[in-house]
Amino acid sequence: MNRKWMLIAAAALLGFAALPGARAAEMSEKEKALASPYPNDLGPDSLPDDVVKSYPENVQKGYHILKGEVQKDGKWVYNNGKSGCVQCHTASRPLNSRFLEPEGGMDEAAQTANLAKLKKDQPELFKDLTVWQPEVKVFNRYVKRMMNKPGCSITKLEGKSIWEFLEYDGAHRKTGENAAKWAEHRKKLVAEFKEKYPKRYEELKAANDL
Amino acid sequence: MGYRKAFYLANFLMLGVFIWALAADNKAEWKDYQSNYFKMTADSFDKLAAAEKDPAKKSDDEAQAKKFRHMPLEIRQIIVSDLDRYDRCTTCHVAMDEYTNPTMTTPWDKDPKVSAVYKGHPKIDEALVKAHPFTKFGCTACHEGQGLATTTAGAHGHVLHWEHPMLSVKAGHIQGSCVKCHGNFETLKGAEIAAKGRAQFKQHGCYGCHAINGWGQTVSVGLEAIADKPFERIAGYNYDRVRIDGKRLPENEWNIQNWILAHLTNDPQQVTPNDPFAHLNAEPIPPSGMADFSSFVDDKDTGHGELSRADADAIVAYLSGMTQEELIPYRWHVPAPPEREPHFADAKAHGHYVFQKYGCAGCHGLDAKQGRRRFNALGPGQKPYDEKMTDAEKFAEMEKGAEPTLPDLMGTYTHDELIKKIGNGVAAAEAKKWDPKGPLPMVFMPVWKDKISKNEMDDLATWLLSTAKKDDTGF
Repeated sequence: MNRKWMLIAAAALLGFAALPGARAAEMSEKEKALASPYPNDLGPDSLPDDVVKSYPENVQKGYHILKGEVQKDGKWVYNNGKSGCVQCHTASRPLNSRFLEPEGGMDEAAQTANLAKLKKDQPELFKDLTVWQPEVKVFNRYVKRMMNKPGCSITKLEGKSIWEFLEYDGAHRKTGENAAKWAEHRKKLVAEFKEKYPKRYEELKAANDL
Repeated sequence: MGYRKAFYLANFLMLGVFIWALAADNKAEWKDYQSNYFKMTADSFDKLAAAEKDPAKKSDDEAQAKKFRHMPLEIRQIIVSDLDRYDRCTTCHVAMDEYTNPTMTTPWDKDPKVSAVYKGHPKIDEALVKAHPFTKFGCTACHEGQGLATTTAGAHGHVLHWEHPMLSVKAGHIQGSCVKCHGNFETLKGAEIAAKGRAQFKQHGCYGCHAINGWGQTVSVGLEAIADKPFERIAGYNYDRVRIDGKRLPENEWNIQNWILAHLTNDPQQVTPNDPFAHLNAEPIPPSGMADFSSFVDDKDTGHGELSRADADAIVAYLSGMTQEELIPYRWHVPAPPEREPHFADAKAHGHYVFQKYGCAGCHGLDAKQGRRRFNALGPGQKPYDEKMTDAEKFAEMEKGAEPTLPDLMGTYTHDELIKKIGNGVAAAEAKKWDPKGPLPMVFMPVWKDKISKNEMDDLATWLLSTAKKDDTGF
């Protein structure tokens, strides 16, 4: 009898020992993304309702798509991580991004002109790349790049909506009278990140990718 | 039976074995070749003597004929002391023995009806042969084969377990021997096929995964000693899958040249299928990550793949010279000057050259036009993963995984971002798998920042960005 229980215990131990390996093999894309974190990931994964509601309707749509929500009976409901940006990483990553795309939509010249205006009116936005990275079409390129990632199901229309949201949101939440609040938020995230992931912090700092 | 009778019986048996050995030796294959050669030579001197009017010359010819008729049959060999080799090839190929036949030519050299074994060495008057006197270099230094053997099959080396058979002259594999000593083989007359092989090796991006003497990447095995590798060790249990021209290789053709050729003219996944569903191992092992150069059809006229058979043979020739096992004396080596970097006035043209130079085509296709297969990578056009699928169904989806087709992506990068991406590479562990429990895709993007210079990287990015497809996303 004793021998039988010993065998069962040994088998169970072996099973437990094998678990971490099996787990690693089945690591999801989201887990992989979080394994290489950015300061953005430490921020909230949604915007306050009042902020969202203050945005134009088409921009609000982009926000919901980004968060992986689909419309059901007139309401936006979470699609279990099967759509939007949350397929591969949390919504925190784009929502707390340092990227800032000047307004101007598809018109690159208009964006360039707005960038020049920003530089003149708000020079502080160009002083700390860990807080703001103002760049023409930066979100446009990133959204398209993410859409090209293997397994990404974001359609062209969805991508466009996400980009419209990110461009609008950046210009309104990260500049002007909100600039100071945004700077405080980003600096807090970077400080927390440095404390939580010191090695990764140094890595990203060296690569100018904080 | 008494001891005395047993003793007699044993003696008779021993005598029988001795007589059998004598008889067997008397019938040795090489003796026929030698005696035929001597008879043919003696007959030719008899003919000369019969036609000769000068009595002194006639007497000389008759004496020569007599000498050859009474020439003893014996093992002949060239001692290549530099290589510590003993090449007995001239035991059968007597016409190539400098001592027996100083001119090393025969009256029947151009007679197609006479077997090559009785003829002199082809192109004996050409610089290539003159530069390699047989008394110094022997035969196997260039031809390979089994120098000590005295049967045709054994000496030519097409026998089981002999890993270095004679290199094919027809397919040009023999030019691999030039590569062994001549660092300047790419400009050497007579080594054109090996030079073409290296050019093909570069053009198709083999350096992107395989390093040779420190040049190239380490995604897959280094090839600087590939010619020394024993087929039977690296082929594992896959003998039956190694096919040339669709046919299974007979055991006597198991050699490294055929192993390389099989990879270049078949889908390497069939040659090295490994164990993607972990039926035999604790972890799944993906099939060969090498691109299928036989299926990327780029020539509609000939219908062959990205590599024609001649291209593949040229690469085999080049790689046949990749040996570190043979102790080639330094005196034999001919160094080459460092490879010259061409100059380009145009950044794009230079960038394209850099793409080829570092073997990017190995994964991203010729001219970056089409990402090559990346087994079990998540990619476009795959059905969603379903655990209930059969292994065959899963395999079919797994092999749809592909490396990125760069023109699709280039519009999403700035110049600086692209340089950073290429510089840092993409680790194998970052791969997105189609089957989460399946093998990790074997091929990955190495770190290039320490290999590609700043100027090269700048121009590579410029060229790659110029390949971007027109943005059709509408935003």
